[in-house]
Amino acid sequence: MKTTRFGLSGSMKTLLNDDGFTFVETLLAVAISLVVSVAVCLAYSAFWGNSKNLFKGCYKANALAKSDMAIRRRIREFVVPYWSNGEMEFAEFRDSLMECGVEGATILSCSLKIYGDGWAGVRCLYTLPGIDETLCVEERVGGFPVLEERR
Amino acid sequence: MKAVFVALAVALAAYGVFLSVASSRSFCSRVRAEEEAVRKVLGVLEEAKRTLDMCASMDCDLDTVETVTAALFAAGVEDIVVEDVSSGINEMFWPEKVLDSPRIAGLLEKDECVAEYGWANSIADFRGREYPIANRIPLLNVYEAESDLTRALCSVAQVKDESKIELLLKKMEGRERMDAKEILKLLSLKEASMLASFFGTKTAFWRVSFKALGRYRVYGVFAAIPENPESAVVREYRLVERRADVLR
Repeated sequence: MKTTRFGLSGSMKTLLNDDGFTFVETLLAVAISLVVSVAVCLAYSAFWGNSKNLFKGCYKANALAKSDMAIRRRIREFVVPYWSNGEMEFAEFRDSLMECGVEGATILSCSLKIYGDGWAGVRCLYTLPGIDETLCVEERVGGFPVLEERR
Repeated sequence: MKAVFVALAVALAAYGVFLSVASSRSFCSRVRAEEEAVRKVLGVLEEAKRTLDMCASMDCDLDTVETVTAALFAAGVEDIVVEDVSSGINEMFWPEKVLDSPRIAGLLEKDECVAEYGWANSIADFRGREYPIANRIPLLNVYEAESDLTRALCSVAQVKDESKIELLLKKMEGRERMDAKEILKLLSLKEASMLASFFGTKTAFWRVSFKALGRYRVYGVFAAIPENPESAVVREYRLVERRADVLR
C-alpha cells in the first residue's frame, strides 16, 4: 500500500532522511498542540487570567518577598545596647534606613514600637519601584535597652 | 515534522511560563517558611529565660549551666552553649582606679579576661548610671572568672596572704558551694569595701546559644535584674539581645 506523505523541504528531507510526515505523525502534532494550548489556558486562568497580570504578579511577589525579608533582617540585626539611650540609637538607625533604603525599597517612615512583653520593634512603611501600593513591615529588633522595657 | 517542531517550541515556552510562576511561588513560600522558622527558633529563648528565672533566687550559679542546658535539650534543640559573658574586665563600667592598676592594665593590654557585658556596681563606681544599669550585683561570678583575673583583683584588694587566694581558687575549681559572704570572709575583705563588690557567685549576664532545626544558630543574652537598687538578689533575667543566624 502506498503511504501518502505531505511536503517537506529538500534540506529537511536530507537531514531527517524522511519524505514528509505520515497521518499518524500529523495526528501526534495536533495532539501535542492541543495539550500545550490547554496547559497555557490553564496557566493563564490559574494565574489571573492574562500574561500581563501573570508576569506583573510574579515580579511583585518576588520583589515583595525579597524586600520584606531584607528589611526584616536589617531590623532583627539592629541591636540597641542594653545600657544606652534607645531613642537616640533608633534615630540613627532610622536615618540610615531612610537614606540608603533596603534592597531597592524606599523607606517612607520608620517608627519604634514597644510591645506588651517589653521587647522593642520597628515598623516601616516602604514602596517598591513598579508597585503602586505602600507596603508595611514590622519586626522585633535584635536588642533593646533594659531601662526602656517597662514603658 | 515541522508541525511537531512548532508544537515542541510552544510546549517549551509554556513550560518556561510554568517554571517562572512555580519558582516565584516557591521562592515566596520559602521566604514565608524561613520567617516562620526564625520566629519559632527565637521563641525557644523563652524557655531559657524561664529556667534562668527559676535559678535566680539561688545563692550561687553553680548548677545554672547544667539546668539551662537540660531545659533547652528537652525543648528539642542541640549543640547548646551556656556561658557567662560578664565575669571579666568591663572597661565601660569598672572603676577607673581598678582599671588603672598594673595587673588589670596588664591583662587588658594582652586582651585577656575581657567581658562584653556587665553592670555598673553602685558601690564600686556607678558612673552616673541609674538602676538597673547600676545595682549591687557583684561584678564577677568567681566560679566563672579566669583565675588570672581573680588573682589580679586580689592583689588590687591587697589580699596579701597567697594561701587564701590559692584556697579560694581551689574551692572554685572544685566547684565547692560558697556564697559571696563566705568568699569575702575567706579573703578577709570588708563587705562595704569597693573591692568586695567584685566578688560574687551570681552571673550578671548569660549568653545562651543553640542549634535549631538543623540550620539555625540562635543566640540570646540574658541580664540579671536585681530586686531593687540596693539589693544583690536577682529578681529575674531579662533578654536583652537575640539573634538567629542561618548556617551555611
